[in-house]
Amino acid sequence: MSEYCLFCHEEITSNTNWSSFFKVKTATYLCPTCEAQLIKIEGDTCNICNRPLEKLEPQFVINSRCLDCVRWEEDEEWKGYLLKNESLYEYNTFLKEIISQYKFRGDYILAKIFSTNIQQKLISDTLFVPIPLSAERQFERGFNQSEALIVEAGHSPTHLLERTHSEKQSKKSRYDRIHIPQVFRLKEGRDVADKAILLIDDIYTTGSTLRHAAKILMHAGAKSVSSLTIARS
Amino acid sequence: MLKGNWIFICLAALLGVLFALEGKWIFLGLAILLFLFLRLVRKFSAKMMLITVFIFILFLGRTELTERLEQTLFTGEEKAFFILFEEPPKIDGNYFTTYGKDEGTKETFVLQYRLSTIEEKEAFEQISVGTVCKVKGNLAQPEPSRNPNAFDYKEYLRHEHISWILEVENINLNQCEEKRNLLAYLQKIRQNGIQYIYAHFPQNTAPFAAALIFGDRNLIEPDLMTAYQRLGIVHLIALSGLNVAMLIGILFYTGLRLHITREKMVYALMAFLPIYIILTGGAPSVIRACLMMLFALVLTKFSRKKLMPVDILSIVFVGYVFIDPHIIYNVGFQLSFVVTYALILSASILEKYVLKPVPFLIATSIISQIASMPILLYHFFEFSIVSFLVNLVYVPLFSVVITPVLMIMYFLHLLIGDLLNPLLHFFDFNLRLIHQLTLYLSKFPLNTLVLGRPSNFVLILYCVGIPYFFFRWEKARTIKQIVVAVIIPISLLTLHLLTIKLDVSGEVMIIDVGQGDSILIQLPMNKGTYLIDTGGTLQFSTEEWMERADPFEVGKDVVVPYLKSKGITKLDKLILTHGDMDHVGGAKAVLQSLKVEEVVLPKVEEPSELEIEILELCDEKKIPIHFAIRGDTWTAGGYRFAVLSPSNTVHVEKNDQSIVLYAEIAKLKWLFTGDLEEEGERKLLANYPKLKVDVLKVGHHGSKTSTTESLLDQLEPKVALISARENNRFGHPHGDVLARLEERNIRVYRTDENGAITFQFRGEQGTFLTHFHMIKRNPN
Repeated sequence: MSEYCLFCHEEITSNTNWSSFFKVKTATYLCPTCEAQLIKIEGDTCNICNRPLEKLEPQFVINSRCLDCVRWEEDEEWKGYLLKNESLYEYNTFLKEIISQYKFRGDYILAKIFSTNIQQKLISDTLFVPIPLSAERQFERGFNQSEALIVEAGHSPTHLLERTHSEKQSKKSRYDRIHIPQVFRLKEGRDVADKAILLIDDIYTTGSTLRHAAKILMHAGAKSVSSLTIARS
Repeated sequence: MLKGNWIFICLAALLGVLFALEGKWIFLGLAILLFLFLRLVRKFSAKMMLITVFIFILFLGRTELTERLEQTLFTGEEKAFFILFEEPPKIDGNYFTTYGKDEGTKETFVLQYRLSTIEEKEAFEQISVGTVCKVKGNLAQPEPSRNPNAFDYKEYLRHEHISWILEVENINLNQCEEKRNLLAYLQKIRQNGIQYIYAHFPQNTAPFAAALIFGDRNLIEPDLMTAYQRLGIVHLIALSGLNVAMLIGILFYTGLRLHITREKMVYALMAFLPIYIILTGGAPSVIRACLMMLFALVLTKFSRKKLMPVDILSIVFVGYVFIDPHIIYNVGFQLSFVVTYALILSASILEKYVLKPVPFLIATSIISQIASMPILLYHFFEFSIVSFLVNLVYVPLFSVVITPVLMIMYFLHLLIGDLLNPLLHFFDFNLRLIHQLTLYLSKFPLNTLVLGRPSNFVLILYCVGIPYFFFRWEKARTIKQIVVAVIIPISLLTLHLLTIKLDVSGEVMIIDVGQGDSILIQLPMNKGTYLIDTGGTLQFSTEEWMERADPFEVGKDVVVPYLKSKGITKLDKLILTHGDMDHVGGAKAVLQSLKVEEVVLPKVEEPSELEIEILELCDEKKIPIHFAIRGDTWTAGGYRFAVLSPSNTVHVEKNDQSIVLYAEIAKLKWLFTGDLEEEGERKLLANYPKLKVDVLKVGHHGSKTSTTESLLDQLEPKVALISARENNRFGHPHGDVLARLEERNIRVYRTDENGAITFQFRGEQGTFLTHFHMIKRNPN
């Protein structure tokens, strides 16, 4: 709950109307103007990666699945690891700014913006697993942006994975991202047998990171691996 | 921090005041519910909770304090006073009344005086506000209500901080002194303005001009006033927030056109608003609107903070109630705030219609109507069904045309005088057409829904159900959802109706009509409603100057309001025992206001003038008339009724011709004797030698020529009911009769001492309750 918009710092004025008497007040962190710029992902979406289908040309949609996911699932090496991804918002310019302020410029409190929505998606008999950063990157940022999302939503993260490489994903092409050797490994002594796992990350771009993580976890015996991200680009 | 939450602060303040004034624990309970709601649902921080609780306690304490401090300083023995006249005198026929403040104690009195000559009337009309005169007279306690649900003048005055009525003997007009201060000066402008209007404006226009320019509605014709009330548009002949907003708007833009800077105009308006309150007589709706406007202006001028309208309204409420906690009982205050709140909170609903003028107006009208419904039902027992349609036409007509035109004509007339007359008469002609239309519309029978005063339970349902309806409407995205939402207020009304129609308890009530009789029998489950007599008020034939515009008449002013307050719209029988004024005088009002299935009269050789009038009215309204005769019987819902008198004899005295009704209700045998006297009683006993009764309505108000020893000895009643006025000039009830009753250990209830007497029963169990006893038990 904040009196000022965490992003634009304008005072938040909540409308007093008839709903004020009948609805539980939800925590607000953005002013109505900023809030309006976050576009929720709704309507028909790809049944794996949650990408809005209406924005794709029809030839890239096969049986309510986007062509990217179709290609992932045709690939013997990646097939069937990531059960389902869910993303909260479209990755528009506004969200891009929020996320970059959040993770690159270290504005930790912005995690709260998403806390209510994330909280609704986290079901308790699942392990919430943040995508890890390399030690170097974690030191640089001071926090793991995925872990912070879980913590601010009032849950505790389960650290199952660690990085083997430390290159930044955001500087790579799709081809490079897919055709890299495994970037994660299971932490020593972690037992994931028959566990349902929800991976948490900030953005779903190609799905490569999440699939790498899912693959490790499924090979370690997990029952299922799904993912939740703030943005779907 | 409190932004957007002031409305909850205002609820806490209101509950604090109610808890202090009503002294009922339910208000503390409601306050605790409010606190829980704020903490759990509104997520109030600890600090905000602290503020809310503090406000509750502050208002509780503040109200308790006024209750302690506001004791009257008079004993009632004082005879001479120096009175400052605070309001223009109201003169109605030979009746003079006004408010005046005692110069020494600053305590306000109601002044009442009966003018004796027309010269005196003219002299008293000249008394101007702001003068101090020496007044001689006696202090009297205001009368409390004598019937349930009736207007309680004593309570009303208490909420106006008035403890005494000064019954004036004389006012020395030669030795008055004029106050010279700003307040007196402004009040004088108002009084002169009103007098100017009456002196120069034509007959139809003048009362409306006085009402809409200076907030004085005293001289609007009662018939017209009733018509506006029935149509639910009476608010239009009072100054409203809309009028204030329009006036301010006009002034502001005129100022700008005259090249006054915006900044100076804002200061000018800030100074003007308080003056305007005094110029218009300070009705709560005007005060509310002016304070909101003033607050908004101050805020834009001196602070960079922005407040939402709902917060401004709430802050004005909190301030207003802090200064005068008793104002919450004022109907105008209640309506003004509730309707304004409803409209402001409905901003999201109205937004949907903002581009469509007609649906927008309809929605506004419906919101105002539904929000004010519980208040109207509580105070007036009925509300207008057609009002939202009528408002649709009348609101724009009044706020855009009539009010501004009247205001402009007033100022023009001050400038050019009688040159304006042609225009004035043209306007008057049109206004008369509007009056005729209003009167015509108000005559349609199904305009209003009479539901009676809601019980506390129903009231709570309204208070929760109506906001919930607005919430559903606000959330509705489709027409279907709106239709579903509309079911809510309809079911509330239906429920209210059912609580009346399916009441499992019944009552027999001696309505206190002063000197006279009026007895209501209401059987359970709406199985039968009978009214025996209607009371009546003797109108003295007077000189023309003495006639009051709307003289008190017990049928219209007591009996009909009580029946309405019980939600009674239909009488199965109106039994008029005999043709005396004090028994049938109110019959015309009853026949005009309610549906009567049958009028029962005794068969007489020479009907009185009154009886003839009633017969003619029945004829006109096609109401069947039954001439009762001994031997008539009927049963309703298992209850037996029988007419025991008059017999088919001729040449009897009128009182002995009274219908005597026997009834068996809740295991008791009742006898209602009208004005039966010795001779009639003798015949009754002769005809029914074995008759016994439990409850006897004593004949002829306890006159010594009735209720003979032999009657009491044979009937052996256990309870006697007497209907008579306090200190009546006939000396009813007579000491001999009271002695006869006492000798036989008969329990006596009398309206002169007990107020209305009610026998409430359910199944075969019943209890007698008296109105004064009940007021004493619940002092509020």
